[in-house]
Amino acid sequence: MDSAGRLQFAPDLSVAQGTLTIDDNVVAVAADLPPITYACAVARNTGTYVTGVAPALQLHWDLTSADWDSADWQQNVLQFTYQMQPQTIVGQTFYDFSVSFRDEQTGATWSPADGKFGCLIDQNSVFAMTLASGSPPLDNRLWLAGEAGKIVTVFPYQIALQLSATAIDLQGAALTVANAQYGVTLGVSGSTASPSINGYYAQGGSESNFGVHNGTLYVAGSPVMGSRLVGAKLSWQGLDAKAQQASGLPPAGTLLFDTTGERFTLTETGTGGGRIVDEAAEALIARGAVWGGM
Amino acid sequence: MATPKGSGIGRFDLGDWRDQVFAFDYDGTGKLDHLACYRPGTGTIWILKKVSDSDSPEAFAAVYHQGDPGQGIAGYNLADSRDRVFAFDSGGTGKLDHLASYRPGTGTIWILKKVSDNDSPDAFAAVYHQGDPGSGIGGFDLGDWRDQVFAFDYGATGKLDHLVCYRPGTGMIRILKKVSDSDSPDAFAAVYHQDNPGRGIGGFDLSNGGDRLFAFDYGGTGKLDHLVCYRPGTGTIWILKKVSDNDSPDAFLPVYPTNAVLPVYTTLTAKISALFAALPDHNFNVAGNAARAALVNRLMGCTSGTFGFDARGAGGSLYTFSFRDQFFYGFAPDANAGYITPATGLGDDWWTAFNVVVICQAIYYVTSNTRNAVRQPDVNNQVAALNGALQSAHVNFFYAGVLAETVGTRVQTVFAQIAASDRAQAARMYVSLLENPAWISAKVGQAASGQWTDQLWNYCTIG
Repeated sequence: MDSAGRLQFAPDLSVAQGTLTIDDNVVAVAADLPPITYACAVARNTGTYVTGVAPALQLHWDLTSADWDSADWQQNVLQFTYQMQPQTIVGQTFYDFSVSFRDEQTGATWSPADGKFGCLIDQNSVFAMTLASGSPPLDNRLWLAGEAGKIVTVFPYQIALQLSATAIDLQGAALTVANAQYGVTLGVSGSTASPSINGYYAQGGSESNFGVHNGTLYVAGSPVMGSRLVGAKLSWQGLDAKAQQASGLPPAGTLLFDTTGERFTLTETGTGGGRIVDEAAEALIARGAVWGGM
Repeated sequence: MATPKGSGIGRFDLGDWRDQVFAFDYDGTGKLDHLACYRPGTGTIWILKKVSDSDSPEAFAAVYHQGDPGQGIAGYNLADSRDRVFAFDSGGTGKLDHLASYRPGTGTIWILKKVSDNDSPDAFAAVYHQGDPGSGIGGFDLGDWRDQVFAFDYGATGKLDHLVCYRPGTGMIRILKKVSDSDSPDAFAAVYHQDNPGRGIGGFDLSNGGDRLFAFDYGGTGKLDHLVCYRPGTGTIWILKKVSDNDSPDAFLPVYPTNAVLPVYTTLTAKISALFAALPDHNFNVAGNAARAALVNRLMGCTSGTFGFDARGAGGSLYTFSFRDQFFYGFAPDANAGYITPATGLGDDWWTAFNVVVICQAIYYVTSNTRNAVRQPDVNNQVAALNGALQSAHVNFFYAGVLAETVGTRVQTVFAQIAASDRAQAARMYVSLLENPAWISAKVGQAASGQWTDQLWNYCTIG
């Protein structure tokens, strides 16, 4: 397969447009900043609180507090996504925020419309979003068992989230239920995919292999729908027999990578593996292409 | 020899062991030219102005005074022996023209502004006050008798407009910034905090009840932007420099002593993350200064040629001198200069040529007659072109090396913890994080918010 491409960046490097040639097919492509998704744990009683009077409410949290540590954290509850989208006004490029929220436990989603919210990332890398008018949609969580059911909603009127220096992690607070001091504050702690977990991998002693690119599992060159890398955890489900053979992975599971993305452990079996490089990678990938063609 | 008993100053007799004195900018002139003298527990406070140069107590006169007993100032009654007062730049004007009064253990703290020149308590008014008991300030509850507060130039702006509040013996410390003019505790917000128990600051754990801190101008810049931390009776004294705006103990690093216990990062990811956060100090970039000094030194070192005179005809000798010694007397190679050529590939010939045009440029700008022999704008153009060539030759690689090795920088602190065998992988991880859409989007979002104020400093790399 012969591939070639050409991208022309705008003078301010905000966007790029061009063509990709794959074999004899030419397609037009445009590149811009992708949406960034953080998978977040959420908890009540984390010591977070709000001060001030609407619309100048201010969220507070303390990662060093005993409340934060001892809270009953509910993992993978909230998926928070934002994207920086360029807009050209009178020849100048400006960026606007778009945000969306998904309650992973109820499946409810919410994308506030343009003009209904304001966003800012301050000099200390605190991401703040404030709903300017209206209310978040209903997020019926009352039927959930245990602590999860005590969290009334994860859709916030306001969030203030401290991004880590690398922007891989965030931690902070969300104001829910009411846009006032008597609203309910939640602690929020999330991660996006680590870029170190990228490339080709194989289990120890196996000739099967798989790839991880852009936070997604690839088997025989094809993305596995629904697979997702959150922090250092890669989860998937629904691998058919052929894909299982090609990858050496079970139908569903979770791989836990080390922080450098070099090694992994399959949490279901405890077996491990690592990144494959150079000739070994080429050989195994060639096999994958054969499998992919089966 | 015992100090003889005196008469105090400006009729403030200093006759009580509780008496305290500090300098104050009473007139708001930007000069600390008044003395505030007070006696905690009695309501006594005097503000003295120098009225003559004579060596007598009358050289100072009170512009404000409340005797013993008195009513304190602006409603702050100074009736408790724990009371402390200091000058503070509450307005962020660069003037220490406000008074901050606090009472450890009670939550009480007031900030007072002068509103008239009258010699009466209402000459000052509270712009912030929390009574006894109160809620303290900016999340620091002032609920312990050990609590201490002082003014600090956190932003290295030349203004003592932040408050450092700490509790010796607990590791608890907050640095507060005024964020509004409201008279409520959230008018101040913490830019740095460690709660109780906490880890102190910059590795100084504040675990001893005798620990004390104060603001200090370590760099001789005219800014009280360093913190001196000491522990009486133990020989321990550290001087801390702010190296980032992060709200974590490693936002400050000891510049003295250099063998102080530094933050330890356990994982490679944590080390890379710390490098991401390790931007140079805007106002005191020791690595930048070291790199610049080495580059200038390399340039000076390549001054070629000699001159002399022959005195042999008069029974003397043939005297020769190098132009380098003539232009740069006492020249000695910089310790970092030897790394420039390996990093840039620019050898002695290149530096000699650069040196010639730079000296010609200097002759043009600093001499009266010889300048006519210098061809302009050719020389300026050549200097600009060679500067451009230096940048194209990846002089940043040299800077990165200096940054990684210069003690007193946060980069060096972290870099020293990355084993040589891990550095290639660390570099790959650093680059992958730098190219990661999450980081790029965060920076674009920060720029779109008008908040990415240190863009030029974000060009850190691993050498």
